[in-house]
Amino acid sequence: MTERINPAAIGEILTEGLSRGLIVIDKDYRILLWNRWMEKHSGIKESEMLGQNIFEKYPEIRERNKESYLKQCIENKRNFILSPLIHHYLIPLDIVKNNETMRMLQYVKIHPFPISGETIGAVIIVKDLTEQIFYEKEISRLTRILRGIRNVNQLITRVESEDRLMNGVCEIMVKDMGYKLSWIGRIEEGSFDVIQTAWAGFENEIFPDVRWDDSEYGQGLIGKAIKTGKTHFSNRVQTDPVFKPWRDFILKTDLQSSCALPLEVDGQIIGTLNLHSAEKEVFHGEEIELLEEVASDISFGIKTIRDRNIRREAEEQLRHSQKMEAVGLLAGGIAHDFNNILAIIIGYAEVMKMFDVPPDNPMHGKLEAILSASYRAKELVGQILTFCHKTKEQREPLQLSIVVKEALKFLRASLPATIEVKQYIEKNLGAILADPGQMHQVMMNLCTNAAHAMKEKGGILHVELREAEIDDETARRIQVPKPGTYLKLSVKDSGCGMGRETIKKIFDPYFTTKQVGEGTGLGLSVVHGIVKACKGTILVHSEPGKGSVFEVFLPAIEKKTEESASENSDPIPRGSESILFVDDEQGILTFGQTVLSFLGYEVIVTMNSLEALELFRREPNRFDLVITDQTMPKMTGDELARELMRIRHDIPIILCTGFTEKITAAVAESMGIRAFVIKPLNTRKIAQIIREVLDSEN
Amino acid sequence: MYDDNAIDIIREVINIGIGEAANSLSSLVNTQVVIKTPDVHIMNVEEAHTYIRKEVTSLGVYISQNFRELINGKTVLFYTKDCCISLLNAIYGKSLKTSTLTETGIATLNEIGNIIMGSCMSQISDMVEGKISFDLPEVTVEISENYFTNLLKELVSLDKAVVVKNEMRIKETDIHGYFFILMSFEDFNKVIETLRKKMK
Repeated sequence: MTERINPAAIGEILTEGLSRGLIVIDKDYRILLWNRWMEKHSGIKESEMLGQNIFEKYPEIRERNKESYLKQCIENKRNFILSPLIHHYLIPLDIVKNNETMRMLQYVKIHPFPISGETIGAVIIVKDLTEQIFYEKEISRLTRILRGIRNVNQLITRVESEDRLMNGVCEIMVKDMGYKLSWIGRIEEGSFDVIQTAWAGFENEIFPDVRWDDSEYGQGLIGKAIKTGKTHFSNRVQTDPVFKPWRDFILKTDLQSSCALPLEVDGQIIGTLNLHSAEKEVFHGEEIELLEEVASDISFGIKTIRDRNIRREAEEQLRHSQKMEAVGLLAGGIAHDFNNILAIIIGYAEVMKMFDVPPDNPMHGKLEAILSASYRAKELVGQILTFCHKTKEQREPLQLSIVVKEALKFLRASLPATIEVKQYIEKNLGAILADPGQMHQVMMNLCTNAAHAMKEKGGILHVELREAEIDDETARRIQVPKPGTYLKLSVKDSGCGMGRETIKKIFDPYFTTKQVGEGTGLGLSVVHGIVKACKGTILVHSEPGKGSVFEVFLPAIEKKTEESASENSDPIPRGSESILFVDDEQGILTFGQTVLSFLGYEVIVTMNSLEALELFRREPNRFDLVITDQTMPKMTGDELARELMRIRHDIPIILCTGFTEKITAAVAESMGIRAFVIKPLNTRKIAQIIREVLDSEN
Repeated sequence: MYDDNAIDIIREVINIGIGEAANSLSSLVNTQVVIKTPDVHIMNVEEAHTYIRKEVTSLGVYISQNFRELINGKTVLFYTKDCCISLLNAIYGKSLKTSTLTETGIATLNEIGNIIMGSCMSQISDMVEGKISFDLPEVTVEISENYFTNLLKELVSLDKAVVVKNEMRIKETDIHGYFFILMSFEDFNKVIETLRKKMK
């Protein structure tokens, strides 16, 4: 090609072929060129535009203050750029899409048009960026949402409480995802109110009066979302009729679009995540799907936190019960030693009282006092061990008065001075069939609750234990299985009292009016369970400001007087048989030898179970009876008994123990042991048992 | 040769120009734009690349514009990419918060560059009472540090660079930029002498 390229031909091609609008105006703003692109997008032919004043053809240019750019370009020969996000457009051209009309967003360059050094007009180049900007906005919004989802998921892994999770989510929705207002509404059983539990976006304003019933306030997006369990949204809330009850709030806050996403935990709707935007047409397809994922993640987060808290409480309870078990073991160890000591005290005091000191001697009364105190100590040890050791419920005939008195002694020492403790315990009350440990727990739970009610101002804790005769009508009214004689335990406080609604829930597990850390909400539900298992009932009377009374009714079985040191007038049985006495406690051994010798028996003693076994092996027929302690080093009493019976199967054995779970009377009997006794025993009792065993052998 | 006095003169003129640009931007985006007193240096064109790479270690965006008639040369407005994005987000607000430079963003930077560079050079033009006309600017997003070097290499006839380090504050966002005015030795002296006389 040797010919020079014709610039005019190139110009013609570029003018009509470029996908840009091209307008040329003269110094008087009359249109000199209106290219094919402009024809296509304006719908106006070039022939109709040529010679027309651009400001008269498009008065909007002046109205929108864009006239100055064209004037300055022509007058001062300056170039101008009008970017779409600042100016939107220069020439008002419409785009119609899906029956909606919008203005084209334009990137405009304005050049002075020189000919021979003189500016004769301006060239306007228009590029359509509408689609470009639409997609950029979409990408930007989806990026924001994805960032928000990521932040919500990070929050779920870190957060410890439901409140923090919900408040954190609302903050993310506003700060990261760009919504104007975000809040979470929860629902409660028995009410149609939607309670706002977390929000972000507005400091003072809260979305007013939202419900989920059939009223006007329940017909909005949130009410529908709760009732149907599905997402509901509106992109024109200012005109949507369902928003009529909240129109003032919406107009005041200039909200345009809203969305309610249900939150579901364990198959139940617990509330909604609500989002509000200042832009129209925000909630669509992909955005809704992503937001539903966020709502699902939040629901999962709430469930995880709840499960974690339940597990923590269970672990805490396990730790507590393990601690109690450890205390029980410790108490068991101490009790064993203490029982041995008591055995010596009781044994020698009894011997002295029965054989050494005549009844008219002043020392006799002192010995009675020593024995009375020792029997008391024995009972106490028994109570403590029962409470600490028995993990399984073991109901037995029980003097409830003893448990009540012991519990009150403990409480008096531990309650503040502002709480006065008064008691009334009737004499000669019947026994009940109950587990001592559980009864102790009932007393402690009722009394600590009463004390808590009085912690602010102090007051009086009044405990009464009486007998009550319950007839048919009363039995029906108070819901006990049958009429009869009952023990009635009342625990009364002068504290803050309770209202009806609280009384209805106090026996529900985990219900509590206490602050976090002050109680698990299990105390009264445990009491309720124990009392019901004993075929009793528990009643509550309370009024706010007037204190509370808890009344526990437990069926009585028989009257039993407290163990006293009263004498038995029959002579103490004696004998002359040979007894092998084994105990690792020197004091017990000496006492045993003394008493048994006194009773006429030939006694061989040893502190060592292995030595006892050797003695017996050498002369198995020498002994008529073996009395052995259970807890001994190297070989326990039951193991020794087994070995002795291997050597001589018919040797009578009496097994003595302070307290042990390992061996019970039934187990001992199954082994062939003739008698199983719990230390400390009094002299008369042990003498009787020895005689019974030896006589049954004969 | 170029004493503090010359630098002060240039600084004052540029300050007025940038102030005008800030006013134009303020009314355009309907938000307050505040500028700090610019930091002015005069150096040879070949030193400009070393200077900018010491100041800015990441890739940037530059907007360049040719000017002619009374004096001939090129102006270059340089921002880091992060600064450009911050500038655009400060202007757009929440509606189009961006983390990348899109076509729309580049179009907006083009306009902003035109306003800033145009204002500064118009101020010089007014002070020297001569006509300076400008081409429309071009935006280049660096994907290689060579871009700026290559740009300077094209300017074989230009010797002197007035380098203005400026800071703007838009909606609590600080925007740090570098403005280069590149021209020949003769044109530069012409401007300085004219301005000195004017100041007297």
